[in-house]
Amino acid sequence: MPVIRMENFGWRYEGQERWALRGVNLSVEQGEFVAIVGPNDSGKSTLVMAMNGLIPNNYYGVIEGSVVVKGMDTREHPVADIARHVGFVFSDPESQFLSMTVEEEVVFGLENIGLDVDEIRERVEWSLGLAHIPMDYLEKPPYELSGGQKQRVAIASILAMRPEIIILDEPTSMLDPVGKTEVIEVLREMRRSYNATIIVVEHRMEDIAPLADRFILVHDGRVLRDAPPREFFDDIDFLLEHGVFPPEPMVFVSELRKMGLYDGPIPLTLEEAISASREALSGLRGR
Amino acid sequence: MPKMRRSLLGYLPEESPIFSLHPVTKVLFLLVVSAYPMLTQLPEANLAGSLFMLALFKAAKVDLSVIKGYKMAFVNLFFVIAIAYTFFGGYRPEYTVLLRLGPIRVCWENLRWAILVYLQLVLAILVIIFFLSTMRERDVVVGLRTLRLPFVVCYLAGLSLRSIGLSIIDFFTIREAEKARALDLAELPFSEKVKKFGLYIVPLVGLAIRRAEEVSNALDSRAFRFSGLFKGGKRTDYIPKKYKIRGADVALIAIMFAFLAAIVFVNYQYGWLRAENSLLYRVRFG
Repeated sequence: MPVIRMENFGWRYEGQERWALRGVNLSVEQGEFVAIVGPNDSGKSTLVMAMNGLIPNNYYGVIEGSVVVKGMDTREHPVADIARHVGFVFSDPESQFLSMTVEEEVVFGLENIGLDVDEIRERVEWSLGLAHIPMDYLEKPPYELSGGQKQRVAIASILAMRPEIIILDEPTSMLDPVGKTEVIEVLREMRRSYNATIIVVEHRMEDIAPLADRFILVHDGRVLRDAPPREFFDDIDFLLEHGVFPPEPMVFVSELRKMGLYDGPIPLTLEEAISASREALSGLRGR
Repeated sequence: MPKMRRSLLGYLPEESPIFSLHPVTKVLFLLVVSAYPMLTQLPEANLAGSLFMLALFKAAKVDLSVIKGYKMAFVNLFFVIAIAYTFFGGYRPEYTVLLRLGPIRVCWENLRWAILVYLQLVLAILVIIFFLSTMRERDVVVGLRTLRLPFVVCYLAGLSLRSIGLSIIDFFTIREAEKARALDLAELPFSEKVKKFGLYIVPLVGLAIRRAEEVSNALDSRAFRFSGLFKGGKRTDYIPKKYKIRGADVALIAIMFAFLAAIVFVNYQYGWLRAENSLLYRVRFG
């Protein structure tokens, strides 16, 4: 049974003529790692906000169809109920901080769901460990950490609640390269050791492709493609036409394929791209 | 360099004795000490209160440059009060006129009231600065929770105080952005400053509205309910449980309430803290 099911879902923000999303049919299974990509203003954030109930609960607009999360219709349940199952990490780490120390920040959600003190203590240690935040940061104000550390604290505060579904809306978009790498490393760690459904809106496809089970392309409010990574990146031209820029090694190998120098699958990692290029080069030598 | 902890208004060294006190003691300190200037008209008593507060700033290891930042505000406050009392303080034939500026009479009796009120306000402001310089949002929430106030009241109080800090950060960000585009209000004459004030206020209000939306989404996304209750249970008070009320807290709270009771008693029973007992009332001109 899917943990998220969207049926013919559409959303139009109040005062807007254009539908931010329309005719979306999606289902996400337990434990899946789903990457959502698309150009700016295509409806990616609206899509993920609909998955944790922020839409329609916290925004005014017109809704079509339905979104059911863990058996709860988002039109009938408040976000606070859905939040027990769905954690949400926003793109701007500072905008989600609600407290003045790292400890309070991580503990906040746990207090809200009424866990006992020992359980809270244990979860704080576990989540900070997973997000690579040292325990001596507990007393620090989250505002004074580096960009990557801030976003990792935000992820730890969500992880601590141990939701079955974690949504990250462009978690690296406001970070410097070091911060981006740190956050991607945490995503890798989450993939390895935490069996949750992870949904990420992310532009760094080269890092996400090896982790994801599925890629979803959102364009102009519609889901245009929904496929496993290799199949998703198979038609690079289609992605480029729709404002998605795949990693350069993929584009390079795709060009080799067009030139008839390579006929294997599109590589998802740099290593795969190197071996595909070698294969193409050895074919050239043979000619 | 000592290790510092963030407070609502700046930083405080970790070795500050204020950190050994329970937040409820600090919250009660604010309530009791701010009542003092409201109950006391006697300017000498308020002046002594201000000196006491300065000693507390020192004892708590608060950086006194925090107060220096308010220097101009203190000066302006005096002029505003003095002008208000001069224009609207009224006139009686027995008043001592110090100066005539056309139809305006500057009277000693009005000026005396201005001094009285000013000293009350100075003490009240020092108490607030001390409170904000030594408290964190968490202390406010824990202090109020210990007093058994509803969760929503405590959390809103904490969030409101923190929003002051956030607005100050936003203000500086906007100022830097304006400066980067060659607009520095500090360089402009007063009339231009007033005209261009909108250039600060409009983005500041816009940012505040955006922050409100973000905070609201973040609260909901972490299962927050204003009632402090969730389905099947009550919110856990994890942070408050980390604090213990010690003997020093009990002693200080007892002293504060005894002091408050004494002030109320001497004021209403004997009137010792009324304005008429001030040395300012013995000053005679001519």
